[in-house]
Amino acid sequence: MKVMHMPNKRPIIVVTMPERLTRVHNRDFLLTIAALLKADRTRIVFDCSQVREIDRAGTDMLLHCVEQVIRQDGELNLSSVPTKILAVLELTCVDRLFEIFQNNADAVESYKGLAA
Amino acid sequence: MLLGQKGQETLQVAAIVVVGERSSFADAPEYDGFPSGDLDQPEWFAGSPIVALELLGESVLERMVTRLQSAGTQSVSVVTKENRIHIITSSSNCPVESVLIEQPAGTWPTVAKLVDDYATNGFDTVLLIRLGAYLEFDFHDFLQFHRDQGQAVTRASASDGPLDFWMIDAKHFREAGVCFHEEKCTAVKAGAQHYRGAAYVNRLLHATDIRRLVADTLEMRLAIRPAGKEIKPGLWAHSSSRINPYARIEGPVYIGREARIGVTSFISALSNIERHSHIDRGTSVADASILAHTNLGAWLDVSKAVVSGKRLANLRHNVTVDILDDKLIKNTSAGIVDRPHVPSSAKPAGRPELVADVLKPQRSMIRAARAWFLARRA
Repeated sequence: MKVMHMPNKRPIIVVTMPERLTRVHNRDFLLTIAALLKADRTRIVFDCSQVREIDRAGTDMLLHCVEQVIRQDGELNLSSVPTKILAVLELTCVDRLFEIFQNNADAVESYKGLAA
Repeated sequence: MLLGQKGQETLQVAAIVVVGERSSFADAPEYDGFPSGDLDQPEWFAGSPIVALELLGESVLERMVTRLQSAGTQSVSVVTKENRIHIITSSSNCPVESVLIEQPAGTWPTVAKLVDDYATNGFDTVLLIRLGAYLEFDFHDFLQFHRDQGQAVTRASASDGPLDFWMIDAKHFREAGVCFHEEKCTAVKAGAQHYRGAAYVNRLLHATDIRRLVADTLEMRLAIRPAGKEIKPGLWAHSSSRINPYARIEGPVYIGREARIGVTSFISALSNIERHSHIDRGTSVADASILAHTNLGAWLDVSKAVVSGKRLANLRHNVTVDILDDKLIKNTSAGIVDRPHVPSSAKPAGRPELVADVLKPQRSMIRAARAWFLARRA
């Protein structure tokens, strides 16, 4: 997890996603980011460059994360999504709930236009 | 005029159709190789030659054999390494035999032996096809062109290169120098005549070409028709298919034998659902081909794609992926399909490609989707 501080703005947290977003691996990841999801008005980028496998439990986990974050008035974007993973996100319609950026820099940049 | 007759003289014409042999076109310099992330070699999809896959109820191979029979060919031999490929199209006046390639001799000696047998049995001309592409042309015209040229061999060609369709004088086959691989093909070097009369050519190299063939057929641009009845304008369906009354269908589409379309699912935009496939509730299929024995789970969005068993080719991102979660996509076929060998140089690199440039975030749409999502979850 990498925290990026911006002048006069809330910090942006870049979270590197694990290689597998599957039923057996989700639990550990959710424990890691539990506090982050409950925080008020957080700005998060999920860096998906390492993700190689995702199943229905993985897409459900992404839905859970985005639900938690927007309920706290926060923002959650995805970056560096491999095309094979993107194909699964499109198949399950989960891609419609995220802004997806080519790299972390673009994702972080996108938060600059938002209110502090 | 029936194929095999010229004036009073009757020509004995046989056809040899080779399936599963590697394409010479894929070796040619003008062919720019695998699309990124493709798990199959050219002309194959999900472990089968594309010509052997059922598309709109029948495979290209079955359609080709039927056309050869109706054109008047007296005998058809289907040569293949695949013992899974069965030809059921046979008639009393044109027998169809299935020939397994002899190992270790290989394809070419098997074909040469067949041509020799045909020559011995009095056949004058052999139409030799390495079936990879789907094409529509007039067989009589091709035969006439071949005879008018007075050469031992004539090859069909399209605007983008030669096709593996050869009209050959059976008695002169051995000296004709015909071969599927360009570098060994002395007939090509010797300047064999090229017939360019094909009205439609689809090389069926990749999943994109599967979609093109299905779309062109459903839009009635081709001579072939879906195997089934048009039960409503634009809805072609087999009598044994089951479509839930609460499913939404927007034609032209095709629903194959024993296929099931679940409640509130939506099938549209020139899609085809093949034999024994099942579309679960709420799933949308648009501009996509769902091949035989494929089960799509609930509430999915399959668009611009070809799906067979667990394999999904996403044509928007030009990527092929095997879906390992049975809740999403499942192969309902009992048989296990072997994958063809893919050369290591053609396999995608270790690190997958990232998001394509065309994906630009549309924040307002995402906000609307999130609001809807939250309302649903509340």
